[in-house]
Amino acid sequence: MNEALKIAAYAISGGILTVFLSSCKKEYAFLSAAITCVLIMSEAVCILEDIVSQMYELSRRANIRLDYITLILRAVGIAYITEFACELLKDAGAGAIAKKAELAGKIIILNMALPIIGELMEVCINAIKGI
Amino acid sequence: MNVDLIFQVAGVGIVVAVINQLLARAGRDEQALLVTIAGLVAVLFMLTEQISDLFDSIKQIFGL
Repeated sequence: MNEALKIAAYAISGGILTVFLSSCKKEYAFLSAAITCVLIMSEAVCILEDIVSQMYELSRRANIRLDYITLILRAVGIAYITEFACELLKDAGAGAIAKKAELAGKIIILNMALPIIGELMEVCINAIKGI
Repeated sequence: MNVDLIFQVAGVGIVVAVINQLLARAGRDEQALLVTIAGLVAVLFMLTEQISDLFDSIKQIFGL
């Protein structure tokens, strides 16, 4: 509850200042929007820490291999980072760079996931051979 | 990590806008441009610090 109020306060004050600044100084409007984004994300990331540790705990209880959970969480982290950069750039009006950052993030995630996909293929091949 | 940072950026923006107007009226357009750039760089320093903090915590949480 407290966090929600905090984030709402950040968002409203940042938004009002951004709209105000965009009428007199465009560059500063972008910077204040960026600072607001960073502050809100920082608040959210503090909560995320608990969620991640709980996910690790759940996977430990369910006897899932730790590699898989680590991989998923890494993919989520990369997605968050690239999404953040992408949205900031889109706001600043550099849509092409934003799209490229997004694409690069997708490629990095795919590169990370490829060994696991190979493992899955191996399991499938072994199962077929077993028949 | 607090809301002061947003107001700091807005304050710098308003002050720079006022100085810019004054210098432009006085006919010193190059100096007005320089003031704008200086303010921009100062705010950018604050912003990069915060962004690096955020990315560090994301990296630490997700084990990147």
